[in-house]
Amino acid sequence: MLPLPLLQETADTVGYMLFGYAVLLGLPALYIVSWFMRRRNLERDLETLETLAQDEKKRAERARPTNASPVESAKPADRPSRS
Amino acid sequence: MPKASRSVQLLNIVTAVLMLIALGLVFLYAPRERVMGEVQRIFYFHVPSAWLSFTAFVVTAVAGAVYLRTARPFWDQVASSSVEIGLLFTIMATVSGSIWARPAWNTWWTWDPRLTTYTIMALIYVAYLMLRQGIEDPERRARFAAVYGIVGVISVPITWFSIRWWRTIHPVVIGSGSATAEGGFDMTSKMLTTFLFANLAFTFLYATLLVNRVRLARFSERVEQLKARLLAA
Amino acid sequence: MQAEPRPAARPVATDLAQPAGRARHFLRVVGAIVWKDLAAELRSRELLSAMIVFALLVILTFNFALELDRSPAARERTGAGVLWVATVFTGTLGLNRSLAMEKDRGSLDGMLLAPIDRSALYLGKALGNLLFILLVEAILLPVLAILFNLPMLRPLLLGVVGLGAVGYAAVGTLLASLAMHSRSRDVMLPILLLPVAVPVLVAAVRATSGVLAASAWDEIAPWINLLIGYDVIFIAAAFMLFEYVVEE
Repeated sequence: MLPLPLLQETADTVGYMLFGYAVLLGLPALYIVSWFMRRRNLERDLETLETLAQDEKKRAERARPTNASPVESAKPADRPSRS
Repeated sequence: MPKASRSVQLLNIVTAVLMLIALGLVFLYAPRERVMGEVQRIFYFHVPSAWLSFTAFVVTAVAGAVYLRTARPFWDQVASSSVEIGLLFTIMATVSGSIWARPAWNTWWTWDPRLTTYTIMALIYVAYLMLRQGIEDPERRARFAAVYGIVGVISVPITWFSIRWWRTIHPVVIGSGSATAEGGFDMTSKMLTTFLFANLAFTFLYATLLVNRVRLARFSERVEQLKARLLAA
Repeated sequence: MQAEPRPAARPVATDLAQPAGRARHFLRVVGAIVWKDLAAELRSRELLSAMIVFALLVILTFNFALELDRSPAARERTGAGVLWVATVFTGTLGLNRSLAMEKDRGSLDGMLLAPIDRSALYLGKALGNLLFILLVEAILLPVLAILFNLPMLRPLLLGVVGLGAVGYAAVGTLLASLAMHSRSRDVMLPILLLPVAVPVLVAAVRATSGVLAASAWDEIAPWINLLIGYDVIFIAAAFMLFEYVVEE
């Protein structure tokens, strides 16, 4: 009498195996792709923020020399007239 | 984002090579299992995913504890990164296990206690991420997440020991009697080599993912800080 | 309410130098906090009545959902589950309210300013919550016993209920104080608490159904040991972690 497992035939389960490995490799791949997307978004944010910061600085620099002169006080006044 | 340092690049390459070798062993070296056939090959990646998910959550708790002691944001970044990767591994283990269970147990899912507890563990760490999302203040968010991460990890040994408390059809991999449970099998030495190598490769995979995810987290923190500074100005 | 912990702030300075004096001080603070919650509840009767009505509604819902009125067999099988689901859901209700009230009235900040030990604050809140859960149980058990003809009042079962409630209140108080600060706090508490409380729930249900079925002690004992183990672990963890939750 043979032990039970020897009497059993090997099941054909290639499809399940491929499905399984598609998941096991696909999920981490998707996850890493999501990193690159997050990174790209962050880099875009950073770029925007840096240009904003630069504008801020430039404006501050432009304002400084006029700041010292008495003409500066007139400046806010002519803005509404222009619009 | 700053470029990866030389050592991180090296780690990335080593991990990629190890994963490729592991895949080669799984498909070309390991023998076909006699009863279940090819699907048994899922085992070599399924079990390391599950083990590394536990590791990831333990790392979260430890990093959380270190954060509570030191209050350095770096440790919070490690903790939250590790949760994300742990959840990735949890999903990989669950889905691949389900695909394996279909031919082996003739069902996609059973309410086997270990599966159930594993799912509950996943829910704990989903809750962890939701808690983080619900708190604005970064300092408080880190503190609360650390506390919850530590509370949550208490459930991980429960998951592990639950197999002794309830009867289960999930086979115990290492130890005696593994072949008697339905869906279990005896490992030949080639299978064992493949399995051990896959565990090594997955450990490297976890470490690499963690290192790179923390890099992303640090970059994200920098952008957030700049944003906060500009808004305040 | 802010001024309530006054008795705790009164101890004589020399008293605090001795360990026994410090322990007495600690207990007095805990007592003051429990008493504060109880007194507030006695005045408004807001929380407890809501919890009791809710618990009864859970039982009623189960009665229809599981057709418990039909067969005694169904009742025996599910009685323990109904008891503990009612306890768990009602518990979240109580925990949420108990800490939300604290935050909304600003009394938590008041207590944090007072020179009291953080662990005394935790113990006080946890004991208060435990008391509320036990009061609900005191109503639930006889109601279940009468409605479903189950032997709910066995001494051993009371012990199981006590052990389960202690573990649930211990971890629930800690997590409720986390959830309190999150954006959607009412939803957050069950999401944080239920998966962590599952072991307590499982052990309590198994022990309860063991007692209801009059099983041998050998079959019930492991679950009771499990409950005791959880209670100890969660209380210890909460004690250590609570100071980080309230730290500002």
